[in-house]
Amino acid sequence: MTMSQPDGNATTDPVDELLTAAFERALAGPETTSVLEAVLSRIEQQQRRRTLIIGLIGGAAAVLAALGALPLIGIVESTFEGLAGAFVLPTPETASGLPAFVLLTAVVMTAGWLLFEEAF
Amino acid sequence: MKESDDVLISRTVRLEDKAAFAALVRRYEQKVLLLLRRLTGDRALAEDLAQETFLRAWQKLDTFRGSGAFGGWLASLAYNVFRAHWRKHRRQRDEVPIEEAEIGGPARDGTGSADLERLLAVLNTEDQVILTLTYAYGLSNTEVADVLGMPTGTVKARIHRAKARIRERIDSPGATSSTANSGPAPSARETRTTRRFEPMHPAPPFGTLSC
Repeated sequence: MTMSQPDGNATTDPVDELLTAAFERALAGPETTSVLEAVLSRIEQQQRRRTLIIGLIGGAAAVLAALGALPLIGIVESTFEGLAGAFVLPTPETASGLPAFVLLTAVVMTAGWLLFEEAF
Repeated sequence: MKESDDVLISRTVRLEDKAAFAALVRRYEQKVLLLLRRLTGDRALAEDLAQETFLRAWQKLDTFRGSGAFGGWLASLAYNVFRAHWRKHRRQRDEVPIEEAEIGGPARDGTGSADLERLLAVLNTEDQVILTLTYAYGLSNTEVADVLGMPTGTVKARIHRAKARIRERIDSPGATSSTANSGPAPSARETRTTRRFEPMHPAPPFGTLSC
């Protein structure tokens, strides 16, 4: 391994040589695998956690979307009546819950993303 | 053929290539450990902090601009990890009798070569760290100053002073490690306790950093 010398120190100094050699020997010591193994293990753990959270967020969004087709639509519709009303165009009554679900899904996705950011 | 740091960093960032990152860890592991051992004086703690350093490197590698040496960037990360640990455990450490505390001071566990331990024994922790960054990492005075958040002139002066102390030690081998502290020679008990803590109190070593 090539060792650099401090700035502007081109001449050979016995102390420089001693330090360079001593640091070289210290760095040439036996490699430890524990740090690498632990780091890779923690990276994998982190990636699994990320995948899990993404899955949970996606799952929640899917459930919400599915619920849109169920009678819950009425509850959500009434809960978000005011908000939904602002979005709803003069369309058939059955479609009036859609903006509320879009909004709710967006809220869930945003909360999920914030949770994800917080976790990592 | 050995791939350059830039290639490995690029593969890690673009492809999340763990093999490339593992190669970087293998390449810099000893250097990071050496620095953290000097800072903590404890082998096990240094390994824990090294893990944390490389984990942060994995998370933040895309922020490495490539304007300086990768080793310097990694040293900054390691130093910040050490500082965070130091702050987190400050209260706990303050409650522990000085003789039992672990943070700070020279490596006492025989890590590294015996020659290195002998040479650095006459220096305080700050100077040991500065020499480690200079000789092991190959950083310039300016880069060392950036890592430690201190003026370049101070780094230069400290290197000069540290080398003078080592030279003095070589010329008079009977000298004790108490020369690491300026002023009158301390008692045996003071030497044992203050040598370990000198750069750590009352503030974290070297001032604040941004990384």
